[in-house]
Amino acid sequence: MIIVKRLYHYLKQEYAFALAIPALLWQIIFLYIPLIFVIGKALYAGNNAISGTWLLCVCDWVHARIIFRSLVMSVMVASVCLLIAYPVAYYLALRIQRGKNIFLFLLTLPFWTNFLVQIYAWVFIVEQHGIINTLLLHLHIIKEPIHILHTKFIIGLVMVYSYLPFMIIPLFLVLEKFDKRLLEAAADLGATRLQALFRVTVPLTLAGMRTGFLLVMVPVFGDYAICTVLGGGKYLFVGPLIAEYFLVAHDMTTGAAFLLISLLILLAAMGIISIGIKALERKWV
Amino acid sequence: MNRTIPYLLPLYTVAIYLFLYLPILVLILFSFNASGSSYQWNGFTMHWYYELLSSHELWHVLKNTVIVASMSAALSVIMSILFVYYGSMLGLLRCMPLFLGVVALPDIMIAVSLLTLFMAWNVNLGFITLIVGHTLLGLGFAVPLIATRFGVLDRYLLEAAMDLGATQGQILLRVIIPLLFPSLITAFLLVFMVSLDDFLIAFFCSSSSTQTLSLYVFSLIRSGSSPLINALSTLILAASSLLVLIYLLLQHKGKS
Amino acid sequence: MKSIRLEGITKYYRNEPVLKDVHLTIESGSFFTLLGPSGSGKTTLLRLIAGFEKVDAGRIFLDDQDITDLPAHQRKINTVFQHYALFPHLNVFENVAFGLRIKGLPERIIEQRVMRILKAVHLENHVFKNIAQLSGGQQQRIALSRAIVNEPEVLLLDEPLAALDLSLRERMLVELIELQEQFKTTFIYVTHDQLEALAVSHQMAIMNHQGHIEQIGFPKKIYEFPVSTFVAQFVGSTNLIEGTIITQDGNTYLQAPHLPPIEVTYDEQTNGMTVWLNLRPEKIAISKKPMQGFSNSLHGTVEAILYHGCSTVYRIVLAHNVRLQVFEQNEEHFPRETIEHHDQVYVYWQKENASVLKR
Repeated sequence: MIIVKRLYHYLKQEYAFALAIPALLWQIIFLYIPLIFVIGKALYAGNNAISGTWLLCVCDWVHARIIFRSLVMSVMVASVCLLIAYPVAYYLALRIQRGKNIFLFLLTLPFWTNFLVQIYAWVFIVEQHGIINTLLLHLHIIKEPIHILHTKFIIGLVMVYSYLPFMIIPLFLVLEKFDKRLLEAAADLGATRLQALFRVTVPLTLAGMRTGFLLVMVPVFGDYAICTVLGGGKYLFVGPLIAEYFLVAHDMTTGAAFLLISLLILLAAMGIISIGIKALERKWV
Repeated sequence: MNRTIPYLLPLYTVAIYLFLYLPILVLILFSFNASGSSYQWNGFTMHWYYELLSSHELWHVLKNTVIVASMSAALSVIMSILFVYYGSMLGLLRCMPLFLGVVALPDIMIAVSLLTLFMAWNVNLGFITLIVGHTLLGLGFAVPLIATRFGVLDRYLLEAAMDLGATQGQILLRVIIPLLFPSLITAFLLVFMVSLDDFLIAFFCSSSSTQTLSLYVFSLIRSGSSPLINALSTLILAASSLLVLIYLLLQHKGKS
Repeated sequence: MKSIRLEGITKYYRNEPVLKDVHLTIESGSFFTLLGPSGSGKTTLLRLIAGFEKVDAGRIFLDDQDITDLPAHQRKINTVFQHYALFPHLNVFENVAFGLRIKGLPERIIEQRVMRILKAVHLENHVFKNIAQLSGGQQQRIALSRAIVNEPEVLLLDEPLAALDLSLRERMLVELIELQEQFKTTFIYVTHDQLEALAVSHQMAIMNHQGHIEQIGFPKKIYEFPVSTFVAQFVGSTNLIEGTIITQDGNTYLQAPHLPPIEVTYDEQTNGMTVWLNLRPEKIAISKKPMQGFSNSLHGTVEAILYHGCSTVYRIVLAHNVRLQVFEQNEEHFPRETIEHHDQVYVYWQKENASVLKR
């Protein structure tokens, strides 16, 4: 009781602190502590021993292959997004005189519709009786409906579709701040437009590219919905496997171990890419 | 460089716009298809919309979704402004990077951690757990947004209010909140939309009685496509667009 | 209205002392100015009195009440900010009424007091306007009203006229003086504009770059009898001639290198230390012909002439690199004597119109 009274008096005096702290506490209690808890579950096997499950998990070829698959997918999707988004962001930021923000808004509007709706739109288009097949059959280009659904290709495509804005916006922001007079200087010094692009614009926008790349990598790596709906369970990625462990098999320990390894590998990959781009920046800028 | 190059960029941009809009436009178009299967156009109809709007299940899901989204948004905004204002005085703003965790980590890991927590505490999954999760996400968006807008406030205004006798609480209510009002609404809308859009947290942390829109669409997709889903998608599209428009208008007003 | 007393005020900013051991008493009901160059700590001093910053050492008294530890919102002191700090989300009326609403005064009284002050500053027709629609001068008056309407014991003004153009500034100065006389509030005014300070103040304090108060006193006293070369140069312009004091035949002279002895009225001991002659330009007469009846007369060449319409400033070279500025009022349409570049001239002054400064 005394503790409660003391706490009450402390809070009344330090009411500013008491009002400010809930937001922080929320993050700590509901994100960081559970995360540590999960990591703990992965490593701790009771009796102060490092869990054998974790080691097994690390050495398991199946798990490694799944993580690798997700990693490759996220890097590829991020790279494709980068290649697709850069010219668009460049055009919007540097070539359009008026209404830049309106065009940007229009570009990201499809993104603001519900995530599942976006996924469904593609299902509708590429399924066996969907638009593409219907059209191709109608035009007699093919004899039988082709299987687009349930391929790695369509999964990647929809990921690009869904996460493209995550790449466009950081690029746009960086390119908007880009000093166009540098291009004039480059032209003055004899560089062609293409040379100026690669020698001036790209190096100076590496920061935006890095942000966008990482912003796309993270959700793609852990994605569940796109893989499940468009993959139809044919391929296992990190997301569905984690869901499987926790919701279906109720195997918390292995699930936690798998999550931990995936997280570590993701962070490592992000770290490498981040350092790599920073090194490029240092070399070029 | 030859003369085609100048047109390359704009054409390419238009192509990308098409790529982004086409699936959605197709979706909308076929929501008016009278035929039950997707590949034959049988005539224009609003039949599917009527069927949707008379579905009790849909209204129940909608109610859940709106409740969860509003509560999460309200909680996020309130906690954010309190954190930013009082935190700036106490030097707590150094802890801002902590709020970026929700963006830096994949949603599924956040969802799984939350689930583990709730199970360890023996908490029943439902409204509360869902709101907790969405508020967690919401804070990650609301705090940086409000902190930025707070940062550009004229410090002298706060001193003037102090000079005129206002206590900290009075300054918050009479000066800061009125001045930041557009940003607060913007943050509310942003968290609302994040909650609306969320799938994984809801998937892991809610019960069958607290289905949200995303989960509802997911289950519909699982049972095979039909223009019903198209109609639902169109409605969601319209509502989201409206929200985004309001959001952007407010953001513009907040900046000027 | 109350008095302010500062004892031993010290304030550090990043380990550098901005104010060191400042002692100051400001009488109740007076218009007191803190004058100094930028960085002299005058604004810091004001902010300490207002309560926006905490002193590192020393006490602040409002009459007999020690307000050093009192937070800003509890002090019966109000501030007029340099850039006004008007609330953009409130109209004119609500801005002015802000402090009164915080106090929780009844609506009738608030309206009465707000309208009274707005009438006093001639803005009663702008009551419901948004402050963005007002001009700089109008905003300034609203800032003033917002502070005064609370009937504070002391009003602090932080360079309130700095953002206005010249003609507006002069008008506002007069209005400020009138307001102060009307409400009899103690005004503490901070500025770096010495002409402004001389015009409005009952008393002034001159602060130097080190955060010390060099001199406190009436404007006239400070101008005519500065205690240091810093004050002499900062307030108005002056001529300073370096030299040593010698006595000869019962008269005191300043002996400066390359110049004949200059008679001065000075009876302190200097023991051969370097002193400065402080001679204001308007105290010097200039003529091409030698004149009788002046204690000091020197000969030189006109190096530069600055014509200001109502007056002319001449720069005269006396001997190696000793220059004097001379200020002459252009009293006649057709002056008896025209002085031009490179003319040989005589400059004269009475010894009583100059002073000697030790530092």
